[in-house]
Amino acid sequence: MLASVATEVVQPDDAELVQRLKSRDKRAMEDLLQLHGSKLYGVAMQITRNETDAQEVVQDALINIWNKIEYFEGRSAFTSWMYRVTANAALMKLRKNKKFAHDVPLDVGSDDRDLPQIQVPDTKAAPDRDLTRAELGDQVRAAIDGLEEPYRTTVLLADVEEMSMDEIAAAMEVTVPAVKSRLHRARLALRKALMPYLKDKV
Amino acid sequence: MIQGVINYFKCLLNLSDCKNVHKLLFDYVEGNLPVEKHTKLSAHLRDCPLCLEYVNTYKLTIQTCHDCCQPKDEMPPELADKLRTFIQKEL
Ligand SMILES: [Zn+2]
Repeated sequence: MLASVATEVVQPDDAELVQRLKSRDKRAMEDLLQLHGSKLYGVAMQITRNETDAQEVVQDALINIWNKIEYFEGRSAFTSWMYRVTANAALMKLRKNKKFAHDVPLDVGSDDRDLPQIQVPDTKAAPDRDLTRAELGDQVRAAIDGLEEPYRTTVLLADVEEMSMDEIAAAMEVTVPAVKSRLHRARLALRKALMPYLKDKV
Repeated sequence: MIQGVINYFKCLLNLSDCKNVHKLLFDYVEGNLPVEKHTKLSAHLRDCPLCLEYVNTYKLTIQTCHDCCQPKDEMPPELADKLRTFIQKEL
């Protein structure tokens, strides 16, 4: 992914936290909640878009972190690992709620006609002034939220949470080519929707 | 300027190269292409302003989504309390 940096290391504070978790120190879980709870909740909210679901997802994620900490080998940042565990828990929740009911055709072209639909609430014409950062952020989030599933979740996991294609394939229980196809089409649809705001910036 | 016009017409003539850009865009941006294909595509982008804009806006879409969508919800205090109790009692 563009923004990811491959040389992740476990932060010193996190290293201590990981050690305490591995030695089954429950107080370390409370510290984790204190330090990282909001981010975990943010990931859960972003994917489920529902407070009740997000609360359950964070609890599931905490259980999984506690039960799976022995498998964390420190090859990625502990924070990324926790976010992936949380994203996985959120996906389980979506799947349970049948949010991924319909299958997506593979290998469809990248013609405009075939792109996933984006329901953007208020598609204004090209703005006659530069948007502020916050305004641009609103437009981008609205466009992603307007994507139908499974495109919305795929693009969130790949381009926002920076999960690998393999991880997303495993989490969404589809093949890697399917993930790539979905991601590409989601990006093309977003590009089209955001074009009025992007074209002056390249 | 003149070079730009020439490139523009070269680009119109090179439609098969342009089609290739569309076909290979995902793997190009992800860095998955074999070196030879990658180099060839990069060379085409130097000559073809339309494809260059296409690739650049695609990349910018990814970057903008990444930058604008970092989760920012604060955990509600009641939930934090509930989860702390859960950790102490149930874990
Ligand atoms: Zn071209």
